[in-house]
Amino acid sequence: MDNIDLDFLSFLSKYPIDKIIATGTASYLNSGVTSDYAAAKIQNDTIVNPVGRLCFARFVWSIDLASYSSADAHLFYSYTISITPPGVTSSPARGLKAAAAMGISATTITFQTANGDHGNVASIDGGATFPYTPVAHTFNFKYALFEIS
Amino acid sequence: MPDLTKLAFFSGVNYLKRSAVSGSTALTLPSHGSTVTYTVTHSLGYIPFFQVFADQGGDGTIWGASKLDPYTDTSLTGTDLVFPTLVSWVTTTTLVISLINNTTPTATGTRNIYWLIYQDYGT
Repeated sequence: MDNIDLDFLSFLSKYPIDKIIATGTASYLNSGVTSDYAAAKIQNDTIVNPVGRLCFARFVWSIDLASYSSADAHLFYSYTISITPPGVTSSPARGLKAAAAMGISATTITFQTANGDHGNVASIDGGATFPYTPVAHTFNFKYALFEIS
Repeated sequence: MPDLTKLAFFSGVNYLKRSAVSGSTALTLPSHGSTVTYTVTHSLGYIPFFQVFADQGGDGTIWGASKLDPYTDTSLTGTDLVFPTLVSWVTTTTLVISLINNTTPTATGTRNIYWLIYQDYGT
């Protein structure tokens, strides 16, 4: 500290702080269509990393553009499974409605979304097949990239 | 109040300052079913905020712990865990970061991990 002429400094911090180097938004449609009602569709969408070097990302995301979830949030819902014959309906089962993640490389930003949302499952062939109707969601990201060091 | 347009930096609030022990390292993945752990000693004496990232796929892309995986993010049976699981927690003196290798087929090699420990709010 003694060797620093404070008159020439605009800012001095004993410790580094997070330096944000880019911000942005992104939106991607995830249909939720998979081969099994119990499987969420996990989808990767990519863009070019605008800063061209490895960095960290923080983000929030939303599927309704009103409430935004934290990066590690998992939204759940419940559905039932009915089988005819014999005509029975399960108690509510838990399903993953939506989740999201971001991956950063020096060249690419990956937006990862998971959509397991669907209506109640109704088997009309005694359990041979389990047709279901997925609910598509558009995932909206708000993100900031910041320096590793 | 000074002319703010002349300032390179102005703060009317506190900042989350990074601890000097923030950093990165490479961990060698253990055998299937095993965990490799790295402990960072921060010695702050309180529970700090922190963030942990990892190149879980070994492909140069870093993710937070929220990276999605068909195994953990669906209720479908018969799926396998593709990426090592990143787990971390902090105490008043250390940050512990683990990669749990329950992948099938078993992932091998090294994975870079990164951590940021933040100083408490200044006064």
